[in-house]
Amino acid sequence: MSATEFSGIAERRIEDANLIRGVAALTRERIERVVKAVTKGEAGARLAVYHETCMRCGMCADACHYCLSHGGDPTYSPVGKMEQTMWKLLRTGGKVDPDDIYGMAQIAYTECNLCRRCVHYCPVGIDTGYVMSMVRRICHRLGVVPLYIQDTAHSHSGTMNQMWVKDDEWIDSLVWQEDEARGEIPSLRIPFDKEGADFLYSVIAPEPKFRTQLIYQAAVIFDQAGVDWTMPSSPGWDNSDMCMFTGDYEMMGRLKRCHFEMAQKLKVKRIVMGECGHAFRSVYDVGNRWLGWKFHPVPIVHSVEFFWELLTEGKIKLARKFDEPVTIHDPCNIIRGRGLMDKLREVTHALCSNVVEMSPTREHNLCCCAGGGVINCGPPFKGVRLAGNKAKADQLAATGVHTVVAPCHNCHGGLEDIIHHYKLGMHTKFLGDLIYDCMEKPGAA
Amino acid sequence: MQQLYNFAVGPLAWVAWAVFLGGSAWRIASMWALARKKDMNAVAYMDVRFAARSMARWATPFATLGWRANPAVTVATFSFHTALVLLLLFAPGHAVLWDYAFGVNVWSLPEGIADVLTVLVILLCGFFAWRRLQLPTVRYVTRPMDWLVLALVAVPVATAFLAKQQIGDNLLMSTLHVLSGEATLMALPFTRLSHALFSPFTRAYMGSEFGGVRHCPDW
Amino acid sequence: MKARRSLPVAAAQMAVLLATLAAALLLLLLPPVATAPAQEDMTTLAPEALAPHSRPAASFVHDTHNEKARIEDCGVCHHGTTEDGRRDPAAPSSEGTPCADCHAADNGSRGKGTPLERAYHRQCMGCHKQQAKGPTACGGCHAKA
Ligand code: HEM
Ligand code: SF4
Ligand code: SF4
Repeated sequence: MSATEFSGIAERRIEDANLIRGVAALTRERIERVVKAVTKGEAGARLAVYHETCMRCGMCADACHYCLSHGGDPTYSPVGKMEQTMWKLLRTGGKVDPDDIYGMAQIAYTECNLCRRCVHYCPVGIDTGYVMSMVRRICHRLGVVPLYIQDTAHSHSGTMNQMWVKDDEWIDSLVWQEDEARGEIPSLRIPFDKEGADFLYSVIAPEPKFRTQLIYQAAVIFDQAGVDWTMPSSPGWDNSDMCMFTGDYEMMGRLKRCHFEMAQKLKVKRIVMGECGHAFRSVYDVGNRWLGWKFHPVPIVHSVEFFWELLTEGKIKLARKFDEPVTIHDPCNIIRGRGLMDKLREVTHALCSNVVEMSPTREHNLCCCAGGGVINCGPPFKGVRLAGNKAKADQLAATGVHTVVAPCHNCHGGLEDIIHHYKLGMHTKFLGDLIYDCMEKPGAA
Repeated sequence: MQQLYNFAVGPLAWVAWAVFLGGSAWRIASMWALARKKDMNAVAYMDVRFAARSMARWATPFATLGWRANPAVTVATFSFHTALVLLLLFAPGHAVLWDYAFGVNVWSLPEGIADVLTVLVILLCGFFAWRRLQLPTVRYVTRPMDWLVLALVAVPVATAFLAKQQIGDNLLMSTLHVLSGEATLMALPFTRLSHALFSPFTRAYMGSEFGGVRHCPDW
Repeated sequence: MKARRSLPVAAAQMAVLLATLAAALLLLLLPPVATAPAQEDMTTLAPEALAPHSRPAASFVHDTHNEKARIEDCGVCHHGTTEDGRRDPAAPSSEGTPCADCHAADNGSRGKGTPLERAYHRQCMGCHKQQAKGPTACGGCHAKA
C-alpha cells in the first residue's frame, strides 16, 4: 500500500457557493496572517500542547462514526481530520493555498460534529472538538463558511434569532399556540414577560418557524403541572446559536448576552431550555466562557432535567404509558456535555414500558451526524451525513424497535434523514411528545 | 573512543541532565504562563480531584473505552512505558553509575529481568514501527517527528542490548548507548517526547472539564 | 447483523503484538549470562563476598596490569587506612588483607565505609579515568570469557 492511497478531502470536494466565493477572495498572505492571528493571538497553550502531544497513535479512529462508516478510511479519523487541517496549518505556519482552505473548511464544517465521542478514546486527552472549532474560527475569519449555515449566522446578526423570525411573528406564534391550546385546556395561558417567574422558557427559532406544536405541548405540560413560568416577548427568546458553530464568536457573545440579560431583566430564578442540544451547549458551556462567566449568571436547566423534576416531584401524573418498544438516543450536547444520561433514562422508563438500549449507549453513544452545525450546512452536504453515519443506521437497526426517543432537535433531523435513507422504518420522538400524550390533564375541557 | 566514553559519562552527562531538567522546567513553566494568559477559559476549570480520577482511570489498562477498543495498543503501550521507565531508573548498569558517581545505592533490577525488558522494548518499538507502516489509520498521520521519537527510544535501548550482551565492539556500543541516551534525554523537552511532560496536563484538563462542567466520565 | 463498531485492523494488530510478546518471553527461558569466576593465577576479580555474580568476572591479570600501568608501589591499590578506617596514603599498605575484610559487601547496611562493589568500581574506574587509560565501560572489564 502506498502512502498516497488516501488523498482525503481533495477527492471528495463538494460544491458550495459560499465556499467557492470565499476562497476566490483569498491570498496566501491573508491566510497566513489570519492563521497566525488565531493560533498565536486567540489560542495559546491549549492548542499548542494538543498539537505537540498528539502521538499520532490512531487510537481515536474507532471513535468516529465518519471513520467507522467509511470502513476505517483514515482521512475521516479524528486525528486524520486534524492532520489535514489544524496540524497542517500549525506545521506550515499558515503557508497554504486558498484551495487548501476550501478542503479544510469542508472537513471542519461538514465532517466533524464536534460530538467529542473521540474524547473517550484518546489516552492523551486531545479535544478534537476544540481543535476543529479553532479551524472553523480561522475559516470564519477568512470568510470561508458554507452558504446555508452562514445564512443562519446572518439571520442571528440581523434578527437575534436563527430563522429570520420577525419580532411580531414571534409574538403571533405564541398567541396562536395559546389560542390552539385553549381549545384543549380552556384556562391555559402562555405568560409573556412575567417578572419574577420561577423560570424563563426559551426555545430555538425553528420551533416558532416549523414546529409550533412543540410550543403548544410545552405550554400544556407547564400549565397542567402548575408551574410558574414565562416566555419573553422580545429578542433574546431564541437560545439557538449557529454563530458558535461558524466560528463567529463575537456574534455568539452578543446572542448569549442578550439571552442571559433577558432572564436577568425578568428576574426569573432559572432558564429552562427546550429539547435542543446545540442551544444548550451554547448557553451552558461555550457562550458563558466567551463572556467571561465561569458558570452561569442564571442557572440553566435542560428540558430533560426539568421533566425529570416534574415527574419525580409528582407535578405531572401519567394517565398511561407508551407501550411500544422504544430505544434511547443520547444527544452528545446534553450527555457528553451535561451528564444527563441517568435522568434521561429515568424519564424514559417512567413514560415507556419497554425500553431497549442501543449499543453503545449513554456517554459512549454514536452521534446523529447532524450536530455541530453539520445539518445546518444544508442540502449540498446532506449526502455527507448519510454516508457518514452508516454506523448509526446499523446501531439503530440492531435495536429492532420502531421508536427512537431523542431529546434534541438536531438529532431528530439527523436521525430522520438516516432512518429514511437506510429504510429503517423508525421514527423519532421528543420526551415532550410522550409526556403530552401520556399525562393526566385535569384542566382539559 | 575510551576518552569519548569517559567524556560522555562524565561532563556530557551533566550537560544532558541540565538540558533535560532545565528544558523541562522551562517548557512547563512557559507553557503554564501562556495558558494562564490565553486559556483561562480552560485553566479556570482545573480541579485536582477530577484530574486525579481521570488519570487513575487512564493509567489502568482496559479501564477506558479507548483502551478496550485498542487492546493490542493497550498491552503494547503499558508494557513499553513500564519497561522503559523501569530500565531508565533501575537498570543494573545505571545503578552502578549512580553508585559510582554519588555513592548512592539505588535498588536495581535483576540482570535477567533487565535483559528481558530490554528486548521487550526493542520488539515493541518494532511493533509501533509496524503499525506506522502497515495500519492505514496510523500511517496516514505519521510524520517524520513520529519516526524521530521512535528512533530516540529504539537506538539507546538497542545499543544497550548490544553492549550488555557484548555483541559487536563493546566500547563502541557502550559509547553509542550513552551518547544516544543523552541525546534522548536532551531531546525530551523539545520533541514529541515532551508528551511525558505535557500529557499529565492534557489528561488533567480533560478530567476536570468532563468532571466539573460536563458531569460525565471522560473514559 | 450487529453494528460493527471496530475497524478491521484489530485482529491483525493483536496477532503481531502477541508474536512480539512471545519472542520477548522466550528469552526468559535462556540460561543466564553470568559465568562462574575463575580464580587461578589472579586473572579476574570476582570476590566471593559479592556472589552471586551478576556480570562476568572483571578480567584483571595482576602482574601484566601493573607492569603496563607502571605501578610499583603496592599501596596504590592495597591502600592503608587511618585508625578510624579512612583511606590514608601515608599508612602502611594492606596487601594480604582481602578488600572484603574492611569493605562490607552488603551495600549500604553500614553507615560508614565504602561498600565493596563501590570500592572496586571507584578504585579501578577512578584511576582509569584519572590516567585517561584503561576501560571504564561495563564490558571493558566484565568481558564475557
Ligand atoms: C511519563 C509519562 C508518559 C506518559 C503519560 C506517556 C503516554 C504516552 C501515550 C498515551 C502514548 C500514546 C500511545 C502509544 O502510541 O503508545 C505514548 C506514546 C509514546 N511514548 Fe510515551 N508517555 C510517557 C513517557 C514517555 C517517555 C519517558 C518516553 C521515552 C523517552 C516515551 C516514549 C513514547 C513513544 C516513542 C511513543 C510512541 C509510540 C508510537 O510510535 O506509537 N513516553 N506515550
Ligand atoms: S488524538 Fe489522541 S488518540 Fe488520536 S492520534 Fe492523537 S493522541 Fe492518538
Ligand atoms: S465527529 Fe465526533 S467523534 Fe468524529 S472527530 Fe468530530 S468530535 Fe470526534
